[in-house]
Amino acid sequence: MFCCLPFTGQAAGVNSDATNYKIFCSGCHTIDGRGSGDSRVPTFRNYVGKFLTVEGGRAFLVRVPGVATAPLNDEKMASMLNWLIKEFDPKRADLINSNPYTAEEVGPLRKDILRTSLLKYRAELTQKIDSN
Amino acid sequence: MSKFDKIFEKSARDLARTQSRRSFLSKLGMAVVGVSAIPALPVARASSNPSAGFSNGVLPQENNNPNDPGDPSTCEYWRYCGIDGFLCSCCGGSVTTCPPGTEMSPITWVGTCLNPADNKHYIISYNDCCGTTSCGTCFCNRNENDKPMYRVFSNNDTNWCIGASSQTYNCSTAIILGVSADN
Ligand code: HEC
Repeated sequence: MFCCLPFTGQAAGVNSDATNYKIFCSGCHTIDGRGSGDSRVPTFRNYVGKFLTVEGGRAFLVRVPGVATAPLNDEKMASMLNWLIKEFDPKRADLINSNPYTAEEVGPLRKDILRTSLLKYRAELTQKIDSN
Repeated sequence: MSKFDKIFEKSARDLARTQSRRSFLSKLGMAVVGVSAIPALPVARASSNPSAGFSNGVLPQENNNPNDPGDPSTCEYWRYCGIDGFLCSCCGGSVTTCPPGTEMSPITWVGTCLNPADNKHYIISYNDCCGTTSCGTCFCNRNENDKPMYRVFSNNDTNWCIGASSQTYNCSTAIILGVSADN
């Protein structure tokens, strides 16, 4: 076991999901995922996975500008989103483990960036989430 | 993108009366976030010398840590490759701490800079310190970051102090968050 653990994508030149999160997301979302402490940058903690439980929510997480426009390829983005949900909303890790994002899924969604409709869309989703 | 542009446009308009640059949100309770996130790194010891580096006649802040070379009270210091603002090291704070009477913004600009000591790219968080006055000393605008993380803002010329209990931009820190494997 010890001698032969697989090398888990940490080869030189490949940043881990956690590192990519630090570089591309933590400035707004903060290192610990709490966000701004008010509604402007919402918290991920014990919440972000709930989007997976309502219709349209799974796509929403990919279509927000921070995800859609990040300078990471689809494969890295999918991997980081999977990491993000498990990291900040571990209670809902199963939802993503059983059906992780893939490059094929996020690619087209990232092209469909939410712009002016974002807040309304988000409010509808969170309303559904909170009434569940 | 326009979403963010909108947020910041609005913020900028709201704040245009009181200040010129850099705006966003902050909350005192979260100021620790940035600081606690620097576990593994050499900290510029000399720069935390409180007697050094007040406005006017800033003393050179010798840095004896070979892994973190340079003087954090000068714009040339390696961590400042993506900075745009006044150096807290010149304002009574340090490269990682805010001057007394100011609070650190939790929401921040993040970039990567090459450390000449080990030739590695470090992830640097330029947390702003927010207070009631602007430091006005050691202005440093390098913007040479090859990774403008927040393309949504289109640049780092944003006030990150909106929403803080104090909203005037005072100065910027340069806190190491980690090492980036690719650059
Ligand atoms: C410029 C600041 C900023 C950056 C950078 C940023 N985000 Fe966001 N993010 C936001 C804001 C603000 C929201 C809330 C929706 C909105 O108002 O746009 C959000 C929402 C989200 C959401 C949906 C969760 C929710 O509750 O709405 C996810 C998922 C997300 N961001 C992931 C990321 C990831 C991953 C990155 C890095 C690749 C990133 N963001 C970078 C500001 C940012």
